[in-house]
Amino acid sequence: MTFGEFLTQYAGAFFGFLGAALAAGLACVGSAKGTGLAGEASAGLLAEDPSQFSKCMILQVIPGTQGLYGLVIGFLALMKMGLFSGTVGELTIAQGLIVLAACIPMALGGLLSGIAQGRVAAASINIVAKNPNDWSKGMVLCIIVEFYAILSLLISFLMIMFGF
Amino acid sequence: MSIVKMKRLRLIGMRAEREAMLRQLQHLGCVQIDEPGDRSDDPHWARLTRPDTGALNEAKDARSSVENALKALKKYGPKQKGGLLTPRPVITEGELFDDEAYRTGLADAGQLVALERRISALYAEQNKLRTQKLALAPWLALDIPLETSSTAEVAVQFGAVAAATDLDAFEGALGAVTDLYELMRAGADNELKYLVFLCHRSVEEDCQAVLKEYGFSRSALRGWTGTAAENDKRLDDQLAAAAKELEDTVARVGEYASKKGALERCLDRADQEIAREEARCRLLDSDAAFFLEGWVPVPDESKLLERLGQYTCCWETQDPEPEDYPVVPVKLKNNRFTEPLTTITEMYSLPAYDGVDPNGLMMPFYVFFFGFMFADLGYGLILAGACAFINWKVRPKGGFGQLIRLMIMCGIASAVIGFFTGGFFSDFLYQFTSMLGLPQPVIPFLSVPDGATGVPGPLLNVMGDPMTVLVFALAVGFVQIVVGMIVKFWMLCRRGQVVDAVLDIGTWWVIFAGIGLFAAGIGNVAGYPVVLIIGCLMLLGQGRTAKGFGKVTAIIGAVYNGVTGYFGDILSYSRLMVMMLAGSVIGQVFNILGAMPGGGMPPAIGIPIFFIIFIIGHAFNIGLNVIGTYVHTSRLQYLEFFKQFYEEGGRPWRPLNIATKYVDIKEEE
Repeated sequence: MTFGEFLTQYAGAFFGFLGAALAAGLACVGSAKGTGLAGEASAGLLAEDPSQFSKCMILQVIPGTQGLYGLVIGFLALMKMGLFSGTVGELTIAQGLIVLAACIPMALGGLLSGIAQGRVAAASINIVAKNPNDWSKGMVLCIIVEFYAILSLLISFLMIMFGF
Repeated sequence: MSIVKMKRLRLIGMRAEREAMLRQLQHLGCVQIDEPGDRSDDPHWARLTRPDTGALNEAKDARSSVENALKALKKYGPKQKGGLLTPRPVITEGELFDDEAYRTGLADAGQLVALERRISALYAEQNKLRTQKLALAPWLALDIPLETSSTAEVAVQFGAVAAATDLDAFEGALGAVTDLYELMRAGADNELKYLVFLCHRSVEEDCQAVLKEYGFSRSALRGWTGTAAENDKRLDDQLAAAAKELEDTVARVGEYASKKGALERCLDRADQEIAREEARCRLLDSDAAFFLEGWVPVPDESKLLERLGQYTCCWETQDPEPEDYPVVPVKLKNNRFTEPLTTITEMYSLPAYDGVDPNGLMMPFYVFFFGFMFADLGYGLILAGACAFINWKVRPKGGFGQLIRLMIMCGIASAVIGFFTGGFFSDFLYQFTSMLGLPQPVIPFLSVPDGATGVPGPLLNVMGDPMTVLVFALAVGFVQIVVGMIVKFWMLCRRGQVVDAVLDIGTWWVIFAGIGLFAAGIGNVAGYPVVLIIGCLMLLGQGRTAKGFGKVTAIIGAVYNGVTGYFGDILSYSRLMVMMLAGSVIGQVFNILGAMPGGGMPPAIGIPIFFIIFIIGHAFNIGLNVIGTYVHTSRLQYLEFFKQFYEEGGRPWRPLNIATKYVDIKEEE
């Protein structure tokens, strides 16, 4: 098998899988870091005041959505590539590269917004500590960051769905 | 849907009647008592004094006592049944202000607080006893009393050496010095070996050198009498007694569990006392009379004045001057449909007294935007149903209650819009029927399979045709922005600034209309519609307040800010489509995930698996989307809509009234 033949046979699927892997993987890393940051801060507060558990938990969960978005994009990419219908082998290199490119916004957006949102969530734990009644404002601040993860999701979605 | 007009109230009454009057005002709940204005220049006013704060402090003490009692009850009492969904009891005002019940409640609270103190003291005592027991532990094997001390002939030393010390070698070294010694081994732990050393005075100094060499350090065992074992037994008895008493005390706290309701009522009562006493402290006193300054809403004025007629007092009411507007309290008057929006307005800031109440203007947009982003028949019904249930069961008050009622409306809007845009748990109908190999049901708008004829399809299909939805979202945004501009136009005209209104706002409408005509290719002056040119010429009016070269920069600034501002604002409405899409996509993925394992199996297994994944996934999606949609809908109001016209900074209306947390007051005349 020549190198050219090898590429034609496998590279399409490879690039597609790489895209799906990056979208899901990096977005999950972002969420893991984000929820981790918020979780550390929450643990500090809960040691003093365990009754704030539900508020802390909601704040901690918010940076978890990027991982979900990444999973959605990764899943849609796999679906588009025909993994579930068994036609993944027919993917051309061009199509594979399109899937890869389409996954990039979600991968980067999910990674970085997850971390940034985790920092806001961790800081918002201070609001819970000092003014538990105003904690919803901290939640609003977190959701502002969320929007950019949603935009990443959107553009990746459009590229995957209408890319080819 | 408007800001209630206020009048300034000034009242002079007799001190003898003050208590009764304040109670009457609290009952009416329509007067906000303010700090009186500064009149210290006037010697007559300067002679007036402030009421004493004794009763206020008393009420605050009572409150903290009851609060601590409730805390103690929660901490040590039995688990209380019911949670968030327990409705508040309804009582009459007379019951709330029943002095006998209040006294009983305060007495109970006092006893509970005392019991709680006793519990803390018992915990501390237990800790102390345990520490002592630990200190005794190494000496338990010793059968001589711990107070044994040196005599004229014999030196006695209690002490310890490091655990690694070889005691036989130690004794050997001592034996080499003298026979007149005794080394008793008491016990050992991980770090030390505990010893008692006795020797005759004559060899004490020689032995001391050996002790030093082996690192013998003396232990302080002062204050003990009897052997270690005797002391240990005594400590055990004391510990058992303390544990018994602790148990009894906790049980006695538990006996108050049935009085929780009464204590909460007591707390509410104390809050009313505090509110009234705080209001009293804002009065000014002479020997026999007092002066009150505050605000009364115009609609309540006649009711108030009628009640005041029973007292010996004189009063005046006065419309506020424009320079007073910043201090006039702002009360919003709303109907059932716009009242829930108050929580959204308050989170931003209340409107200025001479501004506009945004609730009514915002309400259709808010509900529509929420419905559009959350668009799903199933989700909407769940949200509306859950909120309606909470509203019916708990009757929530304040901001939370408003939010719940707002979410009922938003849920209904979501369900309706979801129906017309083909969302029922995203594409549940399609995925579920294709998993079972059944034909997809034909429901107008909601579920129209490919090839079905004679039924209208979804009006907007965000998954298949996001571009149309995006354009629609931007168009809706444009409408909201124009509405905001109309309000601003009206506000300026109301103040007589018609020229400003036409030049600042009218210009842009003309330009918008011109752009619209240009896009449609209608009208012509050298290729551009006349309207657009007139609009641009009117824009020159933007420089009217600037002088010299400032005119040029003012115009450029106005154009730049206007174009980028409106452009950015309208683009921001793309989030309507984005949120709608995100919700559908995530929902769809959960449906597919559910259908995938279920697809190859017999329906008896496939359907339960599908629904497990379905319920978890959609519950998550609903939770996520409700929060996200709420924030983004609010944001569109705050940043894009309010920016056009809103004047904020109103002072919230805080009348002297009966505001309870744990009970509801039955309306009675």
